[in-house]
Amino acid sequence: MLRFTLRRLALIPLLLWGIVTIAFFLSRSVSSNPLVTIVGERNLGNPDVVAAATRRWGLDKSLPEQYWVYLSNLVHGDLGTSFRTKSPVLDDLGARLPATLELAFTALVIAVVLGTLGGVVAARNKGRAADGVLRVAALAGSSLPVFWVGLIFLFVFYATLGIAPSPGRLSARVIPPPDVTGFYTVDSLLAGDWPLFTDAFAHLLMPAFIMSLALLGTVIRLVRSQMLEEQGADYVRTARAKGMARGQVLNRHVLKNAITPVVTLIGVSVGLLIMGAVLIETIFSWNGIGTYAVESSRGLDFPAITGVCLVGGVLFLLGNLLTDIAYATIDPRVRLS
Amino acid sequence: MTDALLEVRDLSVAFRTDRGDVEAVSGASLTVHAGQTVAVVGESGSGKSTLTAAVNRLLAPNGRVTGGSVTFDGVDLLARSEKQMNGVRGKRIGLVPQDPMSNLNPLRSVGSQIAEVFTVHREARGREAKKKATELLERVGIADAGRRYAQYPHEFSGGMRQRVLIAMGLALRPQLLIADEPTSALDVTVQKTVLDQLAELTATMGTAVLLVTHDLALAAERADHVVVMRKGRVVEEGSARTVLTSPTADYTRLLISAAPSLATSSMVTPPEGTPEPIIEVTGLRKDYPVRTGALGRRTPFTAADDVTFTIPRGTTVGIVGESGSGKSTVAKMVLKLEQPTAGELAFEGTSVTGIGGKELFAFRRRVQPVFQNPYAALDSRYTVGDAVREPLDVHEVGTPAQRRAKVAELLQQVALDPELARRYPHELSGGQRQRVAIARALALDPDVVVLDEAVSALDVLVQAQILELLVSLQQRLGLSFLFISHDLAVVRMICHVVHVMKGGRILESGSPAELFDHPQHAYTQALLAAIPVGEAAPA
Repeated sequence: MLRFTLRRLALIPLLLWGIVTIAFFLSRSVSSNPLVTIVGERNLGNPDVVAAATRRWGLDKSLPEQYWVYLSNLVHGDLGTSFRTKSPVLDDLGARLPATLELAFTALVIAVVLGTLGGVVAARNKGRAADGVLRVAALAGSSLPVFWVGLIFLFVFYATLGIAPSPGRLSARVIPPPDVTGFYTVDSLLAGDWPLFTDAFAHLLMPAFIMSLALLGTVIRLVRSQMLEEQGADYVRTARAKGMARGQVLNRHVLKNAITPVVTLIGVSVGLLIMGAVLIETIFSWNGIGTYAVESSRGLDFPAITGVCLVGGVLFLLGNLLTDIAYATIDPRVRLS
Repeated sequence: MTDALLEVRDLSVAFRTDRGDVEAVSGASLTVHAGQTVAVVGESGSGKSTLTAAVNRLLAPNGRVTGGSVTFDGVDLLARSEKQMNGVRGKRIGLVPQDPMSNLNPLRSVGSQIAEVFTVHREARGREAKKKATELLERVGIADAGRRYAQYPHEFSGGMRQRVLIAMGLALRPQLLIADEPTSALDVTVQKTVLDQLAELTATMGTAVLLVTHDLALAAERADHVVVMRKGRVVEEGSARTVLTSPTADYTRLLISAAPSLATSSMVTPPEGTPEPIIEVTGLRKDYPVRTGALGRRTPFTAADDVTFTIPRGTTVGIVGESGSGKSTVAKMVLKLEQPTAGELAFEGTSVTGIGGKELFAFRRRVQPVFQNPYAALDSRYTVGDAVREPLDVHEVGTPAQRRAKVAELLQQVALDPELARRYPHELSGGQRQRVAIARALALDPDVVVLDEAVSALDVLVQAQILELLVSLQQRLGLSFLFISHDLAVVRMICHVVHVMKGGRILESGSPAELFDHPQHAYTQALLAAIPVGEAAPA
């Protein structure tokens, strides 16, 4: 297992190099000029400013040269400076990543907990009303577009009913907790500030739920079908022949076996969640990687775009690695090699 | 004889299906006395397993008892509540299920699954349950039980898993043990040791056994009383000896005559003269890389080593061996589905060891396979006609009309109605499917057909028909067969020459008569001794 982990970790830089290369050339293949972002619209008419900025930001160099400079900086942990914010991309990402991670992690927990619960309930009531409702809900969850659901939820629960908080991570004029993990919920608890925690948590809940929808629907359906399949397995009947009651067999044998494939699903969905962050964060004014990506690409902020791709890649690769390790831990038959 | 421990009277069981209710058991009765072993014998679909599942009240969800009674130790089991049944199952009625591969939870340690029997019935908890489970593992003959307790099912061989299931079934010393085909998935030598173990344990515990099996000889050897079932009805019952030696029902007689045994005479006649070899195998060896140990070092595993034999034209050459003997690896190499690590394979005197491309394509036309599982060997989305026609399409033989005509001819050749061409595999019985697989193998008029356990999954009556078909095809078409099997009796009936394999090597070769009447090698002798012959071993 250790050997496997190390080997996979060693592969990550290679994969990231690929991601960076593709992101670098793809973003620069767009035939539009990032200078407007750098110098602002008003200065575009001033040739001196433009020339100076072009030199200052290395845009006068050839593409291969720029690529080489970027790579050599990257090796030293320098992701470049954002055209737009004028601060190091690494700092920008560091400031925004926790917001996205908090959202994505909460969404993941919601999807797994509610999804497993829903799948078990559906399977136990196969063919009955509860099963039907859950199946339709699951289908809706995995097929409705998140931006639409997000807007509807905001309209209904915030604008009309007024029971949900406003978009954003905190209510207006609330000061964020001192930065420890970057998760407002965790940091507010660490600071012992209960009202702040409830505020952060209330703001987190709706976007996280909507972010989880697609995965939630898939988990419900997967757990349901796995439960039904496992219930028909020979070892279940053997367990019943030992004198175990139906519920006992379900808890001790079926459930664990049925949710094992969910682990794989989670690994694959990490990428999906990060992609979803772009839409969710825009709708809910969530100051994370997603909004950063949107803003950066609007202004053709090359270093920022490449940086976001890099972070996405790292998260995706780590997610997959963790999945493989978790799977091998749960299923003794799986040998990592 | 004491009072009946289990009394099944006029039991009927029906399954709800799309096409209405199907009665699986119709008015079956049987009696098991304390400490007695009663065998229920029948082919697949005879209702024998359904009958025992009804006793335990563990029918599939779409099944229900439609009539009759099940009395166990004076209590009507059918009238008990589900909760009361939980107290009976495992404690007073144990179960040893059929397939050791699928009946253990793959994600839980073997020991914990045995210990569960104690905890569920509140006979022991925690460390105490673990201790008892470890003792049981020892009792069923698993060495190093303490370490083995924490291992998972996939780390156990088939025979050992079956021992684990026996340990589970007997954990609380039940009065009755239902053993549903407890050894049909095991090699014959393993089967013998497992059954011996089971007999010894149940004898010491005084447990009565309801043994379900398709093997009449095994039933007669192991049981005091035999019940023969067919299509849900009991057609005959009596003491083991009586049923085997003087059966009254026609069906029992048919079963006995169809069952291959070492006493069955050969179905083939020796070839005239000495035909030239069509396949020559010389020093064939196959290594597979296997990772072992914590560091995952690659060590080659030799599946077949120095295998040398010939297949004379128009004859059947048999390879017998148990699982892991390398017989299927040899079959794959002869079919050129696996490339040998070393050695030579010659077809009609020309080496085909290293061929590829067009030559290999041409070779495939001449050498065709039929595999074991008739359910898995046919694509469920292909009609029978599509399946048989596919080789003709691939090799572009004739016009579409000619191909259709050929398919009809091929189906007739294997005694199937050409009308079946439009059906799908799931509409056919196992025997019909295997005929389709044979028809498909014959589509390209091959010279050699490799039959890898081709009749092993079939009921005895169907098996006998397929064997007859193979023999007549050989006579009519001059085919050469490589017949791979674990069943010595079948091999004896159909082969001209037999090779016994173990651990990747051929141990002994000869004609069936020489080999089975005068086995030289100790392993061949052990194999022969392990075959149930229908008589209880002298005590």
